[in-house]
Amino acid sequence: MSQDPSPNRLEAAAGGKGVDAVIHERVLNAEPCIEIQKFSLWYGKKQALHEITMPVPRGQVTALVGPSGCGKTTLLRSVNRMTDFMDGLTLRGSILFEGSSIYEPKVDPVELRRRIGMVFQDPNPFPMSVFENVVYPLKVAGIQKRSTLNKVCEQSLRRAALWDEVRDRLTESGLKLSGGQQQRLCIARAIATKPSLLLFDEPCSALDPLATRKIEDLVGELRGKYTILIVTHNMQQAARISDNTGFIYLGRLIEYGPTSQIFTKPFLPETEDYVTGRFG
Amino acid sequence: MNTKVTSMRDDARIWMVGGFLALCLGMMLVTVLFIVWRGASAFWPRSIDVIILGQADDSPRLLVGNKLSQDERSVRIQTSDPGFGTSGSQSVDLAQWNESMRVRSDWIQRVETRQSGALFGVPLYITTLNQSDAKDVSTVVRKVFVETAHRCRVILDRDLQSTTGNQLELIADTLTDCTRPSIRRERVGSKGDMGEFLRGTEQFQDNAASRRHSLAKADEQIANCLEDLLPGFAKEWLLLAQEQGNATGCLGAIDEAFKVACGLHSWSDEELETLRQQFTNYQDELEKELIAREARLEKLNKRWIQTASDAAFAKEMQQACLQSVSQRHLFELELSWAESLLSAQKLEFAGTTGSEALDLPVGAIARLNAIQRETQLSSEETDLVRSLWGQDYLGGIEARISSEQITAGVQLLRLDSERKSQVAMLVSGRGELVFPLRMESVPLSDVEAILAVNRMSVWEMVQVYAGRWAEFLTAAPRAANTAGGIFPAILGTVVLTLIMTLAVIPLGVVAALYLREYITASPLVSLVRISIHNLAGVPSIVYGVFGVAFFCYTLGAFLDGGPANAGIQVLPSPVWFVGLGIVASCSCVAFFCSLRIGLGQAGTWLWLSRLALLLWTLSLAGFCFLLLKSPFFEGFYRDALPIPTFGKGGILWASLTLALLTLPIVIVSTEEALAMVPDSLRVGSFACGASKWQTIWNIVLPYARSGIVTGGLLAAARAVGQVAPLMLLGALPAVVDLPLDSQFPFLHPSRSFMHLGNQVYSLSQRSSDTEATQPMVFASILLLVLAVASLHLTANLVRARFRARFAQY
Ligand SMILES: Nc1ncnc2c1ncn2[C@@H]1O[C@H](COP(=O)(O)OP(=O)(O)OP(=O)(O)O)[C@@H](O)[C@H]1O
Ligand SMILES: [Mg+2]
Repeated sequence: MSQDPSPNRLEAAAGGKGVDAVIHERVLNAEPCIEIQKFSLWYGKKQALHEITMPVPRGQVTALVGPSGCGKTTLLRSVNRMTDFMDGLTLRGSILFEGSSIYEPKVDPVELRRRIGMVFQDPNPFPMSVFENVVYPLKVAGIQKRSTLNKVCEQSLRRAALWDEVRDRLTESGLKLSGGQQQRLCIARAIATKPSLLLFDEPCSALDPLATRKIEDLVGELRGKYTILIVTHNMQQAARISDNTGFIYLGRLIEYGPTSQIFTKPFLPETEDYVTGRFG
Repeated sequence: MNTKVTSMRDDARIWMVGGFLALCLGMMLVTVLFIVWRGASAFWPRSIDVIILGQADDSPRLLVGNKLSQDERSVRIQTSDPGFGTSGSQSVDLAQWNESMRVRSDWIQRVETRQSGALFGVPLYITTLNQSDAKDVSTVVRKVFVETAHRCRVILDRDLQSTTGNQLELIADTLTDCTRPSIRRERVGSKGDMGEFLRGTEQFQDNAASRRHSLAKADEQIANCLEDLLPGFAKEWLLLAQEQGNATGCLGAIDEAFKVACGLHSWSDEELETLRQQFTNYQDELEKELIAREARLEKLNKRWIQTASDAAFAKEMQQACLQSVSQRHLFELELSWAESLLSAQKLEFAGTTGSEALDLPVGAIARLNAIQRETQLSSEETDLVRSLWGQDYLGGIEARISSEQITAGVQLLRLDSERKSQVAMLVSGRGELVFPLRMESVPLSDVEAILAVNRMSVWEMVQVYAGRWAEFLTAAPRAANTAGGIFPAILGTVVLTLIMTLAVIPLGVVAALYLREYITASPLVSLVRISIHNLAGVPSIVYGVFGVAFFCYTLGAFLDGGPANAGIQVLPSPVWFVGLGIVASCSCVAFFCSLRIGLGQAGTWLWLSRLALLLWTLSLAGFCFLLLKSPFFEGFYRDALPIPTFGKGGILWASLTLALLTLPIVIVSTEEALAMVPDSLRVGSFACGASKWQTIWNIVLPYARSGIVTGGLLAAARAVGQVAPLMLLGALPAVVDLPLDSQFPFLHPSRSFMHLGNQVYSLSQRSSDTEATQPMVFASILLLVLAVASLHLTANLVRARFRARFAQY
């Protein structure tokens, strides 16, 4: 655990200065799935991420919290190189996935994304049948065998706790499902290729408490099998489902450590203010 | 208060704008209604009229036909014109037009022929080729000989020597050609004896001549006497006396005429009755007139004795005198009517020698004109007399047309399925204005239909109407585009539009994909986009000129006979091989650049892809250049030269030109559709590990499908209505070989074609007889409007369904 004498990191960040993150030792010592190293990102001239260094432990659920616009989505998207599709981006630093840097020229981003599942803030099923939605990642990866597709479809839907609801509606359009079902469909799609890393970007923001509950349960079930990086605005949710929590502010990582510590006795008072809702 | 004034002014503006809008919409609605009405009514069978026209110094005219249209100055009538191979139309001065002179006769029929348009008239003779008779050759020879000799005798008796030679030739022909089946000619309805008829005619003419001689003598006597006697009374008295004599003479003449007429034929009882009735009527009238006149003469005698020098009475007498002069001329007219009745009979026999005009009544007309000049008959009176006379003439014809004749044509069409017969018809023609009616022989093989329009029930008319529409949609044009169908034009339009759509959609979609999905926004891209939008506004004829210059004269000529034929300088072969090497290496480099793109980093990706694109473009251009300048290519259709195969307008070049013309429409609407694809779908697909092309193919294109289809439909709608470029690119008013047929390879891309829009233009502007083509034009317009409207409607439906289906995003 590194110590920092700076009185208030939030003010420093607001002043445009660099901030040293407080990273608890427990997360530093765990075996990492992703290692983000001094990663900075600019949208044109506007810097969105400031030298973020953050290891994500394998097989655990890591939550990212922070006020709106602080760069959580940007960080998440950098991990599976969705940044490729934006213009005028500048990157510095590196991100290691399973020990190899993903921004190396020899890395095929398409291949990379097949190993990383992603679920977005708003459910975005494709305008095709439920079945086609789930097996889409397999099909684009070149798997055409019907029996494999059927098996994977059922497995993924079961794992996403959607099977019982849609087993009779596999040929119906994915758009006809409810919002919560759609989101779980997207999760099923994301886990269809059995990726080792799952990225969730506020998966419950558009859902009612019941659907939220289902997805939280799902994340709980997926823990251990997958490494999960989840963005959320809901502190209770982060406390409930995550093993580790990182607090990001204005593109800077402020404090990062085990959830139990961050929510009960964080190192920094700023973090405590934020997680208890006194600020933000 | 101020605001109140402003709002009132605004109100006025709004009302004005609204009014203009309503006006414009109203005009459009009227246009559409007009098109629909004219198009839908184009094929409704129109009734046939006989129009009797008076004309001051000319013979009166009888026109048979349909009234087409009427304006302030003239009335147009469609008449038949068997002489010229097309239907004719006639303009009649409105001054001569009189609705009461329009007679709708039941017996007149419309005969639609394949070659020469429509004829109006009634079938008189039917000539059949009897196959069974041909078995016994000797019988045939004898029959033919006897028949020909009989005919020859008739002609020798009656007509000039000059025809004798021809007739003898005919005999010789028939004798040498013994195996020919016999030809039987029958008058429909009644049989006639030629010799008797002619004797009767001569007798009648002799009588008439002697009558006229005595009339002239009487005139002379009167003239002599008049010099001696007092003017006025004496003159009047003499005239009356003379009239009496004339009238009695006429009575005799008519009596004679009747006898002659009776002897002519074995008339049917009905016909005989009609004839007798007619003659009795004449006699009755004349007798009445005579009695009245006798009474007047007696009165006149008395008064003459009483007041020999009464001036007022003298004036009265003078008037009576004048009246009686005109009366006398009317008598003469009647006399000539009796003559013309007989000559109408003669006409039937004249028919055996083809179309021979009946010119006897012309004498009567001349006399009528003379009467008008000599006497104070006003022009209206003359017209009246003329029209009455014309109606009488018609009535005479009608009275002698049997019901068999009326139905004969239709029956014949049913019976003679091989169409070997000939019908001789009493028809009207345009060449010599339709008076008198004349004979025309029509081979049945040329007859499409015989319609007794004036006798049809509504149900029959509906059948004819439906039949004509069916023909219009499925048959080829005939009779110089005035009848038949426009199936080749429909086919041409459909094939043209299909090829055009097949060409334009891939091209437009790829262009739109590139603009929307691949390149990033920059001023250059905006410029390209603006240029595409502006291309949509370039006049279509410019595209036509481009198509001719590029496709026909360059590409087509190149395909036909190589670079030399297209006027392209070829490269010397060493230079050409060097060029080939350069192009090959250029494309190799481009290929490896493209391979690297998939592995490239975000930063290097951009310039590498740009380099690859540039190299690809360069090598493609270089390849085309080398191909055009190749010294080894001799063309595919060298043998056919100098007749061009692809080096002229054809359906392929026309389609491709239209594809260029409609490209902006497809690009714009595809771009719109692509813009409507939510980014979340693209991002989701990428996150699933799909490549750019997989995302486009699996997600973006299916989603934008309806938009693309809409674009294609709109493009087709635009293309269907284009005429100007097609006129330069091989659209013709009539073609023999269709661009799509059952001959291998079925689709013939280099052939000329017919097109609906071009058909409308050429039929309405380029036809020799625009009146006759009018129904076809309006029906074509209706079809065209329907096609465009249904394409637009489908496009809108597709768009609406698309909106409803993806409303969720
Ligand atoms: N495509 C882009 N171009 C330019 N700036 C962007 C772009 N996307 C995000 N930003 C900016 O980058 C910063 C971080 O955005 P980001 O979406 O990562 O925030 P976030 O933490 O996910 O916020 P939220 O909680 O509201 O989702 C914001 O200030 C945003 O305005
Ligand atoms: Mg976000």
